[in-house]
Amino acid sequence: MIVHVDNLVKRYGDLLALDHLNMDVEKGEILGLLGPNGSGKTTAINCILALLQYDKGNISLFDQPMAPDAYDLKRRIGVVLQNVAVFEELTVYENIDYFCSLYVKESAKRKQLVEEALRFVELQEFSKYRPSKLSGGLLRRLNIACGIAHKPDLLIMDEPTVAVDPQSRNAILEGIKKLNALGTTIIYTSHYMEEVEQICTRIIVLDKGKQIAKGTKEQLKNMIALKEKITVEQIHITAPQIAQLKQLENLYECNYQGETLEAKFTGGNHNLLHLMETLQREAVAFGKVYSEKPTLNDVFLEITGKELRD
Amino acid sequence: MRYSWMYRFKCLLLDKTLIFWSLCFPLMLATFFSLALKPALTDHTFKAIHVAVVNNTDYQNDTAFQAVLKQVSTGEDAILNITLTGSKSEAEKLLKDDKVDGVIVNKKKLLVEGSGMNESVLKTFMDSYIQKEAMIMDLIKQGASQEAIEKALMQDTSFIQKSEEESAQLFAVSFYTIIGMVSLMGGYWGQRSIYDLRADQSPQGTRVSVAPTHHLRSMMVDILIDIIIHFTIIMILIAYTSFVLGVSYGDKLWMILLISFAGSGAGISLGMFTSCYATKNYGVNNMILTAFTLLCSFLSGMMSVNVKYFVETTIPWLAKINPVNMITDALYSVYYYGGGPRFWNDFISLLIFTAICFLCAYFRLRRKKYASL
Repeated sequence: MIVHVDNLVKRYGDLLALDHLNMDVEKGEILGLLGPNGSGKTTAINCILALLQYDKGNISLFDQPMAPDAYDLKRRIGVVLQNVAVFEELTVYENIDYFCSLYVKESAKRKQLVEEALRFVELQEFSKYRPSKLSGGLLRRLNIACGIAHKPDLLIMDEPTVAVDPQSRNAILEGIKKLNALGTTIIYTSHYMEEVEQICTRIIVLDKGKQIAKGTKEQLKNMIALKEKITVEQIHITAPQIAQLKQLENLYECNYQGETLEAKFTGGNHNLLHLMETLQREAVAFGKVYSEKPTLNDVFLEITGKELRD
Repeated sequence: MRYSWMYRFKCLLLDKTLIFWSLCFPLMLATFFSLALKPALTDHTFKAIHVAVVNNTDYQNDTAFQAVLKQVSTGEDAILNITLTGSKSEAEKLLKDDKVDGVIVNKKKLLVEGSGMNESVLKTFMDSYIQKEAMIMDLIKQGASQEAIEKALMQDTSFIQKSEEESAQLFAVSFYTIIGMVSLMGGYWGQRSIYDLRADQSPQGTRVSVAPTHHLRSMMVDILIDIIIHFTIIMILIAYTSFVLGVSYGDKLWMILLISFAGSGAGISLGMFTSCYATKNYGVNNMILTAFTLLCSFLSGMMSVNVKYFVETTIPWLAKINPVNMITDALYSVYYYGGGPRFWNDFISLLIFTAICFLCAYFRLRRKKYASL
């Protein structure tokens, strides 16, 4: 087991930031910690890193208890923080080299590691630039390079793509998958469900410091009733016609609002075909129609009653 | 290890704000001090003083006095520039119109309006004349040589030479306050170091905190770099004031350097202490340090010597624990007594102050985990 968190409780005064959190991370996986802002993701990470005091629970890394002076464990961990943590006075190369020097003393080995990190985040041509000269996306890549240069066994990434343009975000996500393929175990926190769906092998959903669901994305989606959502746009439909639609097999919820109809199905086959046939039979005119599988946002919505993006 | 040192040096040296306030600002302040004080303290002594002498019967009958006035008002090194007036009212008009600094009605009556250097010189000159009238009279009666009379006059003008020396010393003392202030400014370097080390103050501090590095080692590296940089800044300031502005620190320069070194250590450790115990906000900590330094400076008499006297007589323990007071007191002891036990007391007090602040900062920094980030 790479990370084992048992019954973790953390309070800030009266606020319960982590409510008996349990978490295991297996070797080689990318575990996603998904939840809205303030759900306890960063607090959990800071507790795992032995930065924060906690009220109850146990944390072990690589089967050893984690502590601030557990230097052998710390040497195997890399951290990419939510805030860019680099020195404005140093160049890109020097920043990576400085943070790598906190882990690797041998200069020849470090030189090689720094160059590999630069190549990995594709910042070679910016190696002599100061951070202030880099764009937001490049700065995030530098932030990642500083966290991965010493080749950690466990990489903890706390919302590394906040305020990053889509192109840079894709590059970062691809990089994370590449690191994982090279054998790095990763804990990835985000409130972007698409990112978590895209790269994580397993997901823990947090809300108000509490673990509300965990599993693979398929397992999570199977936990909820929704299996297919069909949306019909530019539709004008009457109440009796909606009542006709509600007779459809597997349909458990039908909402009509602002010329858009949303029909939710618990499963079954050919739901779209059956819906279209009913609309034709009732002589209802409509525009665009599309069918969607449930997302993690739907999972979150169904469990908590609120949008993940709130 | 070598890389950590090198990069920490670079990080701190390229902090433009720190460099400005620690180096550029004191250099500018010293230059302004020099521009403002040098003329005020030195220029007066070299200009002949304009004086009106009433050509009345007293003056006409006193040939000795006429001879002395003629002696001191001729040549390149003339002390006085005399204007003879026909009446007292004419002379007073010249005084009123600021054409002269004083009016000699007779050798026992001098009229002046201001209380500046020139008026003081005139008053001292006249007092000296009266005191030494007999001696000069004898010299003239004996037909003494001009050299002998000049020698006697030199005794009279010794107050001018003394004023020049005192001015030079006063000029140097004015720069002690800048050295004292800059020493305490080391606190900003200490604060920057803590900012870079503490996880609850900066993301860089978080990165350092999760790395397998001992806090004491990181802190020691930073405090040594801070001292090297900051003490170099003090030496640059002393070199600039000495070689460019012409401030003479005399033969006790090593004492000034020694107390500046101790002051630098005290400032840096004070900065570390305030950063560890005040707030998590770097800017707020900077302001707290500035306010603390100003308060200490005020209590040590930087704005008024009376405050220093009041504190030392009514709250002596406060004077003893005030780091600015320790620095200025040591610098003044160099000026007045050439060092001595008072200097060493202040020096040791500064070292103790440094050690206490540093240890308190370390005990806070070594805390295993934070309650919040």
